[in-house]
Amino acid sequence: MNKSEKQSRREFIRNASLITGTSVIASSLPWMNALANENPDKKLSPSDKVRIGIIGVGSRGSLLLLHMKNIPAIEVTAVCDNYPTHFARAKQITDNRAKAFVDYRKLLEMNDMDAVIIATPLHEHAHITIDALQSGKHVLCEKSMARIPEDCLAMVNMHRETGNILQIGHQRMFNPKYIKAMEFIKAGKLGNITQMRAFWHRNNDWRRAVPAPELEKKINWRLYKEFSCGLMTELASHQIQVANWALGEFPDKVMGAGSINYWKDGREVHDNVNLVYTYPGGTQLIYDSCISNKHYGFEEQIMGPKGTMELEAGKIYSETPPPAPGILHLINNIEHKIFDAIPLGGASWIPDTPSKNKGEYILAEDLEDDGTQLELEAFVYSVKNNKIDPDHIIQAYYASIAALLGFMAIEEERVITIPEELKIV
Amino acid sequence: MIKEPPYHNHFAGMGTRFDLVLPDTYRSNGDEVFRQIKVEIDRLEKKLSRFLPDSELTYINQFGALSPVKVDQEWITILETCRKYYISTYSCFDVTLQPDFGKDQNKLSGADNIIIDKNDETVHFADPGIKIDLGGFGKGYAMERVSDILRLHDIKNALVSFGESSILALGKHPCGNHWKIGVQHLFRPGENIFVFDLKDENMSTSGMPGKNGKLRYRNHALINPVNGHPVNMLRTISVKSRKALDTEVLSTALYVSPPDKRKKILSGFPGSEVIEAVYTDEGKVSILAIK
Repeated sequence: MNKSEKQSRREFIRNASLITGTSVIASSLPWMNALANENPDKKLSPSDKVRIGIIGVGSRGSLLLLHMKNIPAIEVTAVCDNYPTHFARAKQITDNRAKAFVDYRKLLEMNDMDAVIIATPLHEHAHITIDALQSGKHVLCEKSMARIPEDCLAMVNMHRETGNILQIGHQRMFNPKYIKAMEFIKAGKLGNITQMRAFWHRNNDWRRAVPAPELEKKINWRLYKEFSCGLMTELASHQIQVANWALGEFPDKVMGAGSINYWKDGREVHDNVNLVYTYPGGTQLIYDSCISNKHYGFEEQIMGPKGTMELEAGKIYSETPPPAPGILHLINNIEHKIFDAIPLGGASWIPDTPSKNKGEYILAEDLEDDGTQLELEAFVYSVKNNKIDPDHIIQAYYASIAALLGFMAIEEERVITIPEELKIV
Repeated sequence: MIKEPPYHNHFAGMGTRFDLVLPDTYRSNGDEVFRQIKVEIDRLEKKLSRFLPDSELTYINQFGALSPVKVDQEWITILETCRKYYISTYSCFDVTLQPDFGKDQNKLSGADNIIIDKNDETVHFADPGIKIDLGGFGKGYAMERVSDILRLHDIKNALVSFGESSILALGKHPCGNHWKIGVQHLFRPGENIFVFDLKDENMSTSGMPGKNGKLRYRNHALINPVNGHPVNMLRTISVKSRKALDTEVLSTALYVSPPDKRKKILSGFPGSEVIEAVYTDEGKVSILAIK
């Protein structure tokens, strides 16, 4: 990243900070304010840096590594992967400067390390996170939290017991567009939320190339139930988190159906899922995902009596038509003490049909990435200050639980209600 | 913090948008007035709309031809007013319509086919084929109720727009002695083709909404009730008058009336000011005052 890009990025954050409002910044988004005021040219002393080890350097992990190279306050001190190709790539990205491990337990023995980032396959998140927190490290773990609900709970408990930070990779929580959208929602711009829909559609087999048949499950772990819940844990959990965040509640019931109707290649997880989540207040989230058609892409649609939000598109649509342009002209004139003829009268105005309502952007300018770099910057801020918003883990936990219970509902063909023992506050 | 004037608020109602500007009213008072107006317009929509399935008018239209339908006093007043306007516009303002008339079926109905029984408070259609459509009446009627509410709250200065086709200008602009409201070009919104000075007066425009040199709703033609033909749409009629209903009715009647009837119609509305804008397909406009 060159200097001008850095400045425009900082300006973006600063602008976003301004529009999200100082009260929000002060309470739940202190990292954003800190970023806005950061001097990019300042030479950081070693004590200003956060020393991070990364465990799991597959596709997500290596992307995180590349992002970390853009963050001066991060020093990647160690990398770890037990797959030789990824191990070699991790060393290459870090210019061989980081210590490289095959066994994460050895990495956790390092004392000159503040935090770890975990980007392993899903079924390995829980025990590595718990070991890391116990060894005194702060943790940023990719979503979803774990393969089974009990492990998610164990992760939360260990985070609370040790007091070490546990952040989960729900990057939308750090995206200014989403933060602003939530502020609009809380301010009542949509009215009470009455309906939510979310979907993620792709058209590909979701496979990675496998150099040898015995590596199939190691590489394509997403496709096997032992390691993953497929679309639910890898895609849906992001969007369920957004829905929960928007509504300010967590679903307590889910029903669903899914199947393998296209990619019949030996995989075990569904290639299409369709679910209805019910929240305590009676609102539903209708969710679907498939990987045999990409026409509709992905979106989260939040609806209330006053308006609609499409969060991925970053748009808000009002149910109330805008005031007449001539009226805005008149108000401007009155405010500036101008007495002039205003163009107002005409044939009766008729509202646009929904397809013609273009809506308005939530933020004038959008981020280039999906919030991943901001999520890392926020993590650095939390580690430096040894403090994280306590709501973060609750949001992340319920997103993971909802994804897992959704998978169970499909598998067991029944309505699943969240058990009392899985509820946290 | 008290929000300084001007007060402005708007909502969607009667198939269009309603805008209220109170140049010297503070927010708390403005909100109170606005709420009352909205409640009243919502009520009127539920009563007068032909498009809402559970409106009172839908019920009347459904059963009016079968037997006398019991209605309230307000309906009697509304329908009698429509009858008076039907007469004073030489049947150019007509709230009855023939939903099933086709190209060759320009059968006329006429508001005199609505039988109003004041004593029994019932309405009955003499012609079983008719329905009532208060499209050219409802906004004017609603605007009179708005005017009542504003006066009740002792609001002296206000600018009210109902879908931009119906405007009420009460009192004056804070920097002038009246309000200056332009009639917009049919195809080029934001461009004034004529300006009315309004003080405690109403303005209404009849015509079809246009956009980018094209009419948006070619199939929404106004019908000449005298001969049943759709009228040429590349024109607008704008009327200024004291009474909101007069303004609304007159613009509608003059829009559909044959030229030779205009003078006669206008004589029943003394003090009104009328202009007609005629457009070419290219959007060239000529303005003429109708006297």
